[in-house]
Amino acid sequence: MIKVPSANAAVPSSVGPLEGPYFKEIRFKIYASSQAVTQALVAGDVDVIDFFEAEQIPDIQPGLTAGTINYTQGAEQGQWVFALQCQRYPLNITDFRRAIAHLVDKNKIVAEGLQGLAYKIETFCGSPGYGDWAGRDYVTYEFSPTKAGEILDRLGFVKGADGKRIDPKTGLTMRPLVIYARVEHPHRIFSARELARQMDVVGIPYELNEVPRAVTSAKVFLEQDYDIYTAGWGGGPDVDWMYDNFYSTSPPSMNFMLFRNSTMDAALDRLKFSPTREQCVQAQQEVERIVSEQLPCIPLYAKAYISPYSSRVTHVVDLAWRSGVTNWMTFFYARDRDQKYGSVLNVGWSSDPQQPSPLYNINWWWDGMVVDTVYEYLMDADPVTFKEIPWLAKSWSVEPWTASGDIPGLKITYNLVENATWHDGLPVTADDVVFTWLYTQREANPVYISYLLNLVTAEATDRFTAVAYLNTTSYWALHWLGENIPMIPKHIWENITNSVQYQPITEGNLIGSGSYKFKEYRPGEYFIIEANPNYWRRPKDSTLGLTPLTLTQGESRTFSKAVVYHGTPITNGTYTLTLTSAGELVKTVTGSVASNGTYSATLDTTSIQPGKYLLGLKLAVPVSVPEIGMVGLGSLDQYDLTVQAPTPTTTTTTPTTTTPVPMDYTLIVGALVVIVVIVAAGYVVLRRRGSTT
Amino acid sequence: MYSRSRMGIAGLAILLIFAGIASAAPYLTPYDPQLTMQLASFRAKPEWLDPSLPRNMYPISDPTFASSNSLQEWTRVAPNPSLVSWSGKEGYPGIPEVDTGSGPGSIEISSNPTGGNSTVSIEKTFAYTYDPPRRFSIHIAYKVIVEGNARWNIQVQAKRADGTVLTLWESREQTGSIDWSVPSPPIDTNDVVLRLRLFKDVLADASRLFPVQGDYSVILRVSTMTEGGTARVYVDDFKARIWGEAFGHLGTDNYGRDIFTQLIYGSRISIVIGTFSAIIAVVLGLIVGLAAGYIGGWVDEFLMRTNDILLTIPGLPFLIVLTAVLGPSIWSVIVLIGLLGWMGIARLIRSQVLSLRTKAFVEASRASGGGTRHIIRKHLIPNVMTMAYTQLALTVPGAIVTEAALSFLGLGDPFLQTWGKMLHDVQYYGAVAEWWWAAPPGICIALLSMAFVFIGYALDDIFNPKLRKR
Amino acid sequence: MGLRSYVAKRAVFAAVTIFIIMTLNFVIFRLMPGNPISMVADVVRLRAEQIQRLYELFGLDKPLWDQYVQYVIQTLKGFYGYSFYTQRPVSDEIMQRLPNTLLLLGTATVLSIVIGMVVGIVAAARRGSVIDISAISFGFLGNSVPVFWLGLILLVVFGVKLQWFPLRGTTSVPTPTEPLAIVTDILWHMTLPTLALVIILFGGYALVMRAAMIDVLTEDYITLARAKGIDERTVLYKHALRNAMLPMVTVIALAFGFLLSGALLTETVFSWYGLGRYIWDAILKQDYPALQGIFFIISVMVVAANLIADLIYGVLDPRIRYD
Repeated sequence: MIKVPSANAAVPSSVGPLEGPYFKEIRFKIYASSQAVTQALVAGDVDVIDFFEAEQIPDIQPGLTAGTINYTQGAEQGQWVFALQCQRYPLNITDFRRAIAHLVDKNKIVAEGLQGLAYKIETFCGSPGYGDWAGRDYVTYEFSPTKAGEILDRLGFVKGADGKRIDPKTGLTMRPLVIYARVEHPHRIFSARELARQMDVVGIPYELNEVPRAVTSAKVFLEQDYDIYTAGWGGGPDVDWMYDNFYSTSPPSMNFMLFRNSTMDAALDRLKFSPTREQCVQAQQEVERIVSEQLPCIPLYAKAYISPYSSRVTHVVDLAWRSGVTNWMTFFYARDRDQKYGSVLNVGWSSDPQQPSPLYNINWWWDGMVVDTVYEYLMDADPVTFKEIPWLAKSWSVEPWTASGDIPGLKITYNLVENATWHDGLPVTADDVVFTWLYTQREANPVYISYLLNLVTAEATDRFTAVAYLNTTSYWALHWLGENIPMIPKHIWENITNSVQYQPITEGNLIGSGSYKFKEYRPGEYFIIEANPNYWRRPKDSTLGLTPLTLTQGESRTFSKAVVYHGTPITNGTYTLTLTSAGELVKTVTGSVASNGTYSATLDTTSIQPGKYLLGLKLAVPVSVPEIGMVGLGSLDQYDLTVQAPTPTTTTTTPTTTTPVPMDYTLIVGALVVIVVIVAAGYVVLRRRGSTT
Repeated sequence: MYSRSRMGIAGLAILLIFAGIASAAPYLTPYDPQLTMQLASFRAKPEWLDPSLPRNMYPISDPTFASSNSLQEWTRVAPNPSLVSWSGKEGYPGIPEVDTGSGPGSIEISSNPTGGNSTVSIEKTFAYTYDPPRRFSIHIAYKVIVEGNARWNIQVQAKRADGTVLTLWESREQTGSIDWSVPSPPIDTNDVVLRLRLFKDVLADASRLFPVQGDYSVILRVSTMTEGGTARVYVDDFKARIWGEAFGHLGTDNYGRDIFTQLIYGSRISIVIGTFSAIIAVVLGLIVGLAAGYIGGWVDEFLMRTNDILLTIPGLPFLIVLTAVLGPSIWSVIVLIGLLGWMGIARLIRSQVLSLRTKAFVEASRASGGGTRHIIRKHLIPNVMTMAYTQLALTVPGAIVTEAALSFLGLGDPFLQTWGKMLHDVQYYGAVAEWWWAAPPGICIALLSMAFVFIGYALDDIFNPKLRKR
Repeated sequence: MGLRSYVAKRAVFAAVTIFIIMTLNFVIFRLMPGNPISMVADVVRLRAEQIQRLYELFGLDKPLWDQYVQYVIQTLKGFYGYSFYTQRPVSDEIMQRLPNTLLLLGTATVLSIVIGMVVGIVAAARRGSVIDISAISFGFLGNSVPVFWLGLILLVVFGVKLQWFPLRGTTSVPTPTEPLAIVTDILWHMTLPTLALVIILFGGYALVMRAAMIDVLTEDYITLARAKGIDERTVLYKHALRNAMLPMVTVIALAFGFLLSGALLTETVFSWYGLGRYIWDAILKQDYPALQGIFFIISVMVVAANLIADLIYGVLDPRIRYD
């Protein structure tokens, strides 16, 4: 039985006491390309960026020299390989795959294609970032076209008169091998072209396709219609996902190399389901050995990443599985060098996030950045030691349990912190945790399904204790439920039936418990999240507060909001006012809507006791109205309400606070410019015409 | 008449210059634009930009040790210089298909004949007079013949101007013989393991090895330890290279390829693509325009409707989609540009044919008994052909720029370095501030297009009778 | 033929063209390699049933003919399907970006037409002189310079180095709330891309204007007017320009038709949130409905512009009216 002693919110990790946030707002600025993002970093427009490749180092050199840009460095927890389609002739011959391995000059790819900023790997998890998960017993295939030729000759693929290898089965020149290289990364293109050059030397015909992600997604992941593919993964400190990658019965979209080997299956079973870490490490060694011997893929390199950031930002957190500092923990923990609280962090993005949702995302790199910051997990991995740090769960325990059918299993108890709240003010309870697990399991959510396969049932034994029962004794089970599934509020998601299609932002429902909450999203331009002033881990001296508001008992105040979309008032939303005190709901008022799209709700403090409250005003606009495609129509405003006892002088005022949605000014500006230009041109032309005799 | 048009002369002159460059390309530069890589450090600047930037330097004059004189450049800093000699018997044969080797002749370093420990160093000193470089690499091939009980260790070191010595590589102590081997990974400051080991910084580069101007050395240090045995260490193909940060007329790209070469060879492709696409477009336009204008009736209707439909399809996006479907090869690009460029020409030809038809002299010709074919031959074709030539000249620029746009977006042939592809590389690798790389392709595109336009306008001036001054 | 039947003929032709375009649209995007749901499948490891569900949702499981019929009906109704990528209606995605592109391209087109006309008239009046040649050269230079290159140079010089103009987008982050501030903000963001476009575009209009003016200036009635002693300026602007405007009007009308597609490269360089970039993103993501929608809208605009040009031509050119 493992029990982690109780810890308070300010538990130290390798980076320090985990309190935050410090920035009042994080602005994600959307650019059209990663070169534009790097330019922005150099110009000071943004402080951190989403990607950084070795080729861009000269571009930030002026900033490095001037001291305006700092950087962190590390070995990524990831790998880049040549994935091979192992069911396709002739790649289904192991020795043929080994011949190809002898054609890869990894030294050159690293020195020239990555400017040396990568580690050559001989096993799948060979990156130094993986620590003791890396295989120690492996085969090296030295770069030698001669050796490759010898193997091919031995297999019967001799060189024909035209210098190309002949297929022994047909007696004719062999079928060209189809290589897919994704254009988004220069090093993928470089490695593919180097391989192609060596294939020319040894006489293997090929067809090299340099294509974008959409094409490779279809050809490689959906159809497995390829021979060689420049694949890459970003792993994470846990390696149990090897199972999905190499197990013979994995869906082909995950085991897209179609590798089927019973020894490997046995090793993967042990890797995924062994109860202790030592056994998992041993199993992983076996997995690595088999990969290196049987070559379902040819491991190439893992990057030594550089993560640049503006030197005005301090306390950045470098995560090896995010290749740098642009991650939720930095957003939560970093601060401005000159101003501890209240500054703004600018992040450069090279793509729109599309639709962040805890249960579905396509543009996972950007959407994930938002989801990880707005939502939280029960526990997290320490940035340096990778050990578990308590988060929403302040402690946990793992006990043996017997599932039906006498299957040995686990009973995992997570004890939650008691002061965490959702962004709309309601408390985070074990009900939410249990709901999250069971709901995502029921919805067969593709993102989390492999973490929930072994969950038998779960229950909330009291308000802050969530218990999960699993029919496996796997060492990883604690992480499956604890580190990989973000906690979602039951009161929002329990009525949503199609979670995979649902888009929370459109209804103002991107509501989590994290250090930042959603503020504004303008598609193609920017995405803004603002500090959660009520965050349960906020530092004691934090000056990031809610909007203060003082009312005298007996006073009424009406809050209103207008929702007009392209001239059309939207009248089918709901405007709800909630008053909470210390996490308990005190009062709810449902607002009304006028035909011009103005929603109003009135708070009457007559029956409210003097004291401090959290006042929340939530506008939810359902997505079923066909005219609405625009995001951000929903909203949540929060006030730090103080109700004071009535004073002798009674003045009843009912001011209204309206926050109209800004109009779309582009057309006005356009019309203005056109009119001005036409008038000016007309004046010029007419004046000339007129000045005659 | 053409000679009177200043524009025409200018245009023709520019075109001839480009054509000259294009055909003389192999004589103007010895490198291949696509395949010759590693000419200098990546993104090297042009040589004329800054004389203090490091140039390619090879401190070891004779890395192959072809003759016994080759040892003269080495100072033997050794307790026992007699242990170092030149050997004509052993020579690095290279690795088939990978490394050509360096012919017979190598250095031989033997163990102490009386047994025991022995350490021999040889040092090559050279003066370094440039700014700090970014990349430094050494290649070495070694072979050891051991008889009996002996251990050996080979080290390659660098000595800085301040006297500090850094071990760049060592073979580690080994026993036994070993056939010709090379270090793996190669000794190169472009190796993250070396950077971390020596400088604890992933971004450290050769500037840490050569921080100031002064005298530096490459040192080969061989240690042997024998107990009743001998060890003979052979070293060959011992090349050292300080990679240049300045190279050529226009520097290098991300893989060390010469940009000037790419610019020159790019002219070939631009001229070819421009001309071929324009020819296809004009030929199609001629055929359609003539048929529509002369035959008339429903043929005219049908052709003009098709013409207009194709005109309404937005050109560049459509081209992008088709290239994505058909695959990015130079021929599909040529054909597609041609296929999408004929519509305007067809319209012009057609209206020319129509106006010629109604001209009095055609009627007159008919009245005097000339048959249809005679009319065509004598009147229509010459008039229309002049217009075709003019249009040809005016269409080429569009074709060149369209190909540049497609290559810029990454849809051109990936194995051809066209001017548009060069601009794509500039943008892809974020090198926009390197104007010696970014500006020339754009300027060349503009100049070549302008040349054709000037020619076309000169032709227009000549052939269009209305413009002749009375 | 008469004006009425001319108009009717043109209108019918326009309708037929649109229909053919719809069909071409459909066929071409079915030819593109790749599978639309691949973007989804790649990331979220779909099971077979879920893949099937997605196929049904996007109507990809029906036979091609059924898909085509449904496509035609929906397009005529103004519904362009749901984007494969964001699963929001394509018409909404287009509407979000349309104003930005119209603003940028509209302003650039108007400015380049006006500048081009003035330059063309001046060049034609002083044909063969230094002014003529330098005007033409500069026009050609601008025309031949790739717009993305020019845009990049402008961005680096004025945006990164001098920091006079912003590096991205149509708006600052976040958008200002004061109406005046919003307007100035948009104008500030618009300057560089508009400048790049105007430099590129004005040359073409200058050339057309110049050629048309030259054509007209050699006509008999101009010689007559000069012989009558009318001063050059009146000759130029009162007599010549009026007739030279005819081809110019056609060109202008056509230019507005191509407004939407011309912005692709500029919008990418300046991270301008417009339709041009949307085309490119949609191609990269194999987003058929988005591509179909955009192409259709662009084609409709071009056909409409052509129709208007033909109508104007029909009204202005007496030869047609009384043919």
